[in-house]
Amino acid sequence: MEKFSNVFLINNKLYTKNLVPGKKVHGEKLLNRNGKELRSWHPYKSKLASAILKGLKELPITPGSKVLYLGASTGTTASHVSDIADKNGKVVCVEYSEKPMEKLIPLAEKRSNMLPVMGDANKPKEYTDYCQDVNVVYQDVAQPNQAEILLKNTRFLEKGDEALLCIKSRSINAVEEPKKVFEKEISKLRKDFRIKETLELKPFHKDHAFIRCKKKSATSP
Amino acid sequence: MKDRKKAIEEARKKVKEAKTERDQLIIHSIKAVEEMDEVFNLFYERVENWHSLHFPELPEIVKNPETYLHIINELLTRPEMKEEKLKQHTPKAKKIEKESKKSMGAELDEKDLKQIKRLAKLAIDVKNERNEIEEYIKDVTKEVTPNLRALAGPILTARLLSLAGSLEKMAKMPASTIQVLGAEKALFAHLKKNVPPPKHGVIFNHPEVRKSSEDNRGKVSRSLANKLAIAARLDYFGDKHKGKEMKKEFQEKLKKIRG
Repeated sequence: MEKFSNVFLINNKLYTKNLVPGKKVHGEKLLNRNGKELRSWHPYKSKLASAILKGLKELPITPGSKVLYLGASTGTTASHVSDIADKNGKVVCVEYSEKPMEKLIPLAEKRSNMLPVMGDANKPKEYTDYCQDVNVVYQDVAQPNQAEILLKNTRFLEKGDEALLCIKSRSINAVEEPKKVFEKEISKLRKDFRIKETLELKPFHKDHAFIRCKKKSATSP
Repeated sequence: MKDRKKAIEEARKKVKEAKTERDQLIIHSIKAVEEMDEVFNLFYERVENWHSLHFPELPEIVKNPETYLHIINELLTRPEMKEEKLKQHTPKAKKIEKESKKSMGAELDEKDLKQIKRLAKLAIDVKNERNEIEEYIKDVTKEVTPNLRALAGPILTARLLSLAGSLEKMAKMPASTIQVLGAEKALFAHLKKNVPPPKHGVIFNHPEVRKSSEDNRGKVSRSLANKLAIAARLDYFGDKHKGKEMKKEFQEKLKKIRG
């Protein structure tokens, strides 16, 4: 069953259509269905996958989307996002540390729609050049100022564009009750966004919340 | 996309730049040293238990693991352990020879014991290589983090860097965090439950903290952490030759604390 475009749900397992047939990214299973090659997508490894399994209603990332991906790490989820965005799409992967970047670069070389950027998501100016046509922001950074980082990066979005955000309560406050942390972060987002959906990623990821939100109006950069 | 080529190239360049940071060398070195210590202890324990089948009294007499291993490596069997040969290793040579004659260990032959020797030799090699790396740390810290080195000594500096992740991160840390680096478990226990906060993390390995009385230890480690935070910032951003001056200031502060 095609859950979203290029995302398939077969026997309760998620797959995305492989952009580079025959190539695995992180040792996942490949599957052939009606002449298409599908790559399995693990909810325990990827927060976006777990959000979809937990019932995400709409996925703003579609074929042709220009995605700004903050916190791409080694590119596990980013590769699936690149699958979904397909040939006409674009995924700008921002990662701060050098270690995962080592793996991300070779991955980006193989995938024609991926752009690796080594930079700080706190400083969008560093990668503005690549983000002119971005219309979705996906953010999964384990930083204490996650909401602020997203607000800084809204400058790339137009009114009505959506952002996906993954909040890890542990990296904001290790002691406070996760629910309270989520509420606080969401209230910060309300400045620029209308919150569309909030999911908790239990049991796949502990103390994580997943948020889909829509940009209210154009803000000055 | 021509953008994409540019992005890939730029990212490659930046990774390369990040890899040339010298502090990472120190961090890998100290981690290697710590791992080699573990390996050494593991091997030593095995040799001790194994050889005790033959000469169980020896570890009681020779308490130092290194000396013990040297003896096993050179004079494997009990009949070989004569006073004049043992002399170069330990002052207790005479006692060992005496004990070797009336030992309650099994009579094992050369072939059985030879296998123990392999491990003993390996352990000694590990120790020697470890010491080489430690020398190297002493050397690099002089060049990369001279201020921290002057205050904390090369090894503690390396440990702090490895806990902080990089010199940059340490330079941006508040002193209070530096003070409890390495005591994360106690710190989070404090934040979650009603238990007192840790007074020191790895800083405890500093001789001035360690030798302080229990009452003063918190104060001493606090002021040391303060100085270390400044030193890290100087090492990363500024003047690398403030070490002596800062050490003097720290000594004065110590005098005040100890009254």
